[in-house]
Amino acid sequence: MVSTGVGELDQLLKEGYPDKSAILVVGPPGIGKEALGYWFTQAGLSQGDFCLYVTRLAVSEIIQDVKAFGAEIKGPTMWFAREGGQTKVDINDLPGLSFSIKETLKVNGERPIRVVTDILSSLLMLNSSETIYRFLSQLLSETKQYNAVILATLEDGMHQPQVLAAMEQLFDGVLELRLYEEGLRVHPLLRIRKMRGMSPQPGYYNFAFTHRKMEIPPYAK
Amino acid sequence: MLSDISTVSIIVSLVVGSLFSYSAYWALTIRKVLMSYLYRRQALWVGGVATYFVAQSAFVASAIFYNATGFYVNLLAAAFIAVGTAATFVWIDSTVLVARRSDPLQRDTLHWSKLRYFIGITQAVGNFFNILFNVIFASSSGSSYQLLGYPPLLGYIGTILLLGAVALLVSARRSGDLTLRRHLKWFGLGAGLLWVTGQLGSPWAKVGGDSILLPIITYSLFAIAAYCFYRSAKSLVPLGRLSVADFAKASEVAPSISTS
Repeated sequence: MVSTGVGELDQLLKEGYPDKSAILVVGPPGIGKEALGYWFTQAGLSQGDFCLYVTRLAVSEIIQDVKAFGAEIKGPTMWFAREGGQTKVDINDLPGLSFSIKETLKVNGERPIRVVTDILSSLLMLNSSETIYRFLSQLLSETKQYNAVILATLEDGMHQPQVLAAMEQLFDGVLELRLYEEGLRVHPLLRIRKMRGMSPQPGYYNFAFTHRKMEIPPYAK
Repeated sequence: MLSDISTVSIIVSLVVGSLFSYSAYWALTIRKVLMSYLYRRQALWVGGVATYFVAQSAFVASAIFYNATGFYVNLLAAAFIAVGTAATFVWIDSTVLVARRSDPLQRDTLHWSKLRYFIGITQAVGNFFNILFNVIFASSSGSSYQLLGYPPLLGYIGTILLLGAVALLVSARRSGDLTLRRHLKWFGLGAGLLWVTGQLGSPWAKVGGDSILLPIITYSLFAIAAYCFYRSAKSLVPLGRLSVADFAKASEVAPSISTS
């Protein structure tokens, strides 16, 4: 198992994400799903894992966001980014992106690998869902040949429900962060929609971000 | 004794004020549970603009009820216009930045990163002169608060809305974000209705003479605009609803997790 970087989430998932898995975090923009990627990367760097961050934003924007969540990405992180990374991300060039990721994993394959990416929604907006389904399906199966765990975020509310459903199918685990309305209140709730090696989890969990950590008390009405 | 038009004005101002209060409540509640700075800022300013309209409605209702006139009333009316333009501009700015973040190619629509300074400076200078003219001239011409309440939104604020609306429409089209589009659709509808109410309050709309019908239509449209604003505030993010069955499942499995 691979630590999520969030103690309470590790407990919920019985020690963390499964080895050689692909995890999808779904949630509306602004809810904080990227933070799961930051803590996942932070935990990996502290253990000496190889961390690859593939983003549609500039590295400086991510670093700014990381600080806002009280996380730290210190250490030799490989960045594929729009600006400021070792490799420039061109989200219109799917074959090039796939090639770069696979080559990087091949070179660093002797260590445990963590890959975090936020480009899935952008790819889905620029390409047909069929194209992205094929691209992702191939990329995920090839990266799983290495000792890699991939964490991808997907924007809820940006895509049609059938597109979300298709994407979820490709991943071993799906975490959902959503806002639920109850009377005049709004609850941020987390749900484990699926996770390889775990029985289906029908429960919802409150979550809150405090400085440097995420708290997940059980949801009780 | 209040005239029929004044009574209608006060009642509708109160209804509109309530609707905008509800909008502000939702926007600020959603803001509390959002984490990302850009989205929190957007929700804050949706709440800010709604709060502005609450204050404006209360001011207009009070001014009509007490038949308030004079230098300080004019000054306050001018201040309301200034705050309205500033709040509207900041809301548009925060939403354009969110739309840019949603755009897969991160395009700088209409060079907004530069245009925002131009609009910001223009509206600041405009506000200064607006206050100046209100203070100097309006005191001699009677109730300048009517500029706010009749029409409820001035063409001045409308101009800022119009400039920003172009940037917003293009940005939303580029982003392809369904939630943002829904939010902008309701806000756009509300802003459009506010613009129409502004036109109905202009002198040319009264060419046919003073009729009670005109203020009734104006304030009805204002009330509908307030409802649209409420819908836009609630569509800032997708909000799910938990069914009774979901609650049951949640309580069945609620695990004990020690907090670290």
